[in-house]
Amino acid sequence: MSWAAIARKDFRDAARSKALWGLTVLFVLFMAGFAYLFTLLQGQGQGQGQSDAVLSSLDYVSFLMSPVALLVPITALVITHKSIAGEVESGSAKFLLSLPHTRRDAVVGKVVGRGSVLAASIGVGLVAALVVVLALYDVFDAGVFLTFAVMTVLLGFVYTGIGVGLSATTKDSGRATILAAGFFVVFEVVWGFASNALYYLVEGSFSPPFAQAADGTPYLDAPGWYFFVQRLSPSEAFASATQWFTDSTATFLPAFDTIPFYLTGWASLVILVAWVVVVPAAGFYVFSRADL
Amino acid sequence: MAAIELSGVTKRYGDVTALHDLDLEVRDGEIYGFLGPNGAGKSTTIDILLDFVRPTAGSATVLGHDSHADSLSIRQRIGVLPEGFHVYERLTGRQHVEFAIESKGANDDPDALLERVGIPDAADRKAGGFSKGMQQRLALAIALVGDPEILILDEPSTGLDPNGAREMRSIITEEANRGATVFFSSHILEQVEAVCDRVGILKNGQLVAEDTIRGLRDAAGTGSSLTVTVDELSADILAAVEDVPGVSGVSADGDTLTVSAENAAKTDILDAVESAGGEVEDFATREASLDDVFAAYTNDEAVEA
Repeated sequence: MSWAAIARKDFRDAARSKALWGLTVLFVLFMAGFAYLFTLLQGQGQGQGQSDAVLSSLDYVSFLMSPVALLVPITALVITHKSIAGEVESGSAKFLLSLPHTRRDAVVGKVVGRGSVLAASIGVGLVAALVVVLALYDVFDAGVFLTFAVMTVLLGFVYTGIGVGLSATTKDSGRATILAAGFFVVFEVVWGFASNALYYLVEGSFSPPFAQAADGTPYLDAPGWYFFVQRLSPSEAFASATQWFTDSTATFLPAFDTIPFYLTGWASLVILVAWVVVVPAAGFYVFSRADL
Repeated sequence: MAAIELSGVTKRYGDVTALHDLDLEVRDGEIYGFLGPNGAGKSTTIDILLDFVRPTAGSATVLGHDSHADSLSIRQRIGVLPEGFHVYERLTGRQHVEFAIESKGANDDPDALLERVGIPDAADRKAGGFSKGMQQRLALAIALVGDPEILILDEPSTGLDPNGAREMRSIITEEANRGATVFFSSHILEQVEAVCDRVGILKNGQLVAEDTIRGLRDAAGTGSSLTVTVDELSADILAAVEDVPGVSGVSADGDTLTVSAENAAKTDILDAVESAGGEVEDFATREASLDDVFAAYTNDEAVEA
């Protein structure tokens, strides 16, 4: 249980830093601010004559999904990308590892410690949002809100694991920054094109055609693997899992009569868990063989 | 049983060889001084004992355990003051010590340890504001957690004033009296002289000498060296000086001779220079430095080889 001591120390260290407080303020402003902003936007819509605009926590969750999928990964990478590389570079790793801790404990302890810091900030932000939702919204679904909270914290841990894992592969904190930024660009910015590129290789055109569902809503008529490849990106997996578990009425992927298992919310959860295991494990593999 | 044993340890970084086929044994209960200039490979040796780096060839054991395979059980039983370490800036002195106590499952009193190393006031201060000397004392307090069987101290007096260095030495002696083995490195001769039972001298990744303090003193003469500048240095002068009784080492640089010798030999040396046809333009004496000790040992080795 040596990682627990490291996690506690890391949390204590971070709890005294201005970064944690800044982060918490950021999440409060962001989560509660968006909850309030959403009431204004909806109110405006109502004024313009849109029918039955009932404010519900489900709409809030959908509204917040994309910004959360952007903000949480960025903050997680910012607070973790130097977690191992920086310690090795500065020499505090010598202090840590001259005590009876394995390098695996160091990696696991960092993921748990920094992940808890992020979770605490997200938690405070969500509580503030909850107050706004309870005060101003017509419909509150505790299950939906709780699911969203759990998924957001999970996304935080996933990106904490990715950040710590990448940081463990190098003892140059500059390189660690580049790795973290590179990961973000590849999996959050460029990844959308990856499934299109694959689609081009297989089908000869860049984008799948649109089709119309029975009620007239357009949808992308693409093969299952196309969606699956998209969801390999952590934030896409987060978004699809959150949607799956919060909104049972949404028409998922009308291209399918029955949703294949690898496109269910459970599959997205598996993808998220795989990220939080694989990247730290790879980082540990490199770290355990490195000369400090 | 040897407390620390390295056999045939070689460490290469790319094409730089930091350690070359190093054999070293530290006996149970002794204070072993590990001397060498900066860059000699002292820290690499210690890093291998702690499994921070892995040897290219050879093996190392601490308390009979393999330094790589059993690193965790080794680090459970030793105390370490690493070189070039860095404190956690936002944690207080006490939190650092508490973390070490928790990590080792020990039951020390953190305040008593901070008191012992002379920084009781630092308990509630964040370590980021510590001077180098205070950081060094904090690191010593951490090394002392859990009454370790071996203390490994890498350049422990870095950043300490003379008073601090003396306190460090007295703690080292106390720990040895308790029964601990102490292995510490330094590039300053006086620090190891005062406390060590035995001394090993590392140079360019090789152990060039291993001796008791007494043996070291003998080899270094009574502790002084003489530099003599002559008008024109010749092989005759060099040979004449080398033949003077009490001279343990001679090196030449331009027209200047550096001679390691007993104090009593000084006049004889100057006489020898003059009688070999040299004219002394200048001379100076100084206390023996580590370099002189090195010179003495490396010259001896050259003779043996």
